[in-house]
Amino acid sequence: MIFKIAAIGIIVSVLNQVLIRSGREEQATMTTLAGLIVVLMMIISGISTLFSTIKSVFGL
Amino acid sequence: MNIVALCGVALIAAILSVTLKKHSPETSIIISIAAGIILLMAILSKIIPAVNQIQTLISNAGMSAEYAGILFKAVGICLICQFSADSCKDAGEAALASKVEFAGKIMILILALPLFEKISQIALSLINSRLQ
Repeated sequence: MIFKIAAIGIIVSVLNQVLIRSGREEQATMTTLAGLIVVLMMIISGISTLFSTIKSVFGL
Repeated sequence: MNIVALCGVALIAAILSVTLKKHSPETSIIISIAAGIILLMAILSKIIPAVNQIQTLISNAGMSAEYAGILFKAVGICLICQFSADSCKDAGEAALASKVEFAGKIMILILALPLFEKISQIALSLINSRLQ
């Protein structure tokens, strides 16, 4: 999961710089936003499983 | 997962997070949260036998299972609150982190208040019996 997120981050930042250099600021912002959303969707399921595991282990 | 693997995960996540911090800070924070999730999940699978052992110890000692439940609930609240507060602090939101910690303290206080009431009742009955 860590390497996946890091790869998405690197790709998004490279795309961001390329798009900024070619003068498409809005698309660069949209790319950053899309990358952030993709990474968030990946992390949210992890957070949910972690919290439910803690709940079940400690009987919350 | 043994301790070497856990330390390796933490180190690799730290290096990746620092590398990405300049270009996309949000991804670096999410990498650190993901590493925290992986480490905590690996530890929680080991913690279950320890929890069962402590429960059997407490039941052998003659204490009621209610006290052990309150103890483990407090530990769980502490874990969740610490995780969230540390993630907020890493993201630079110290105010949110302190609020999460405060919420955790209040929840543990609410959890522990019935026990405190029982202790005070026992103390009161002891004092009254001594006076009479």
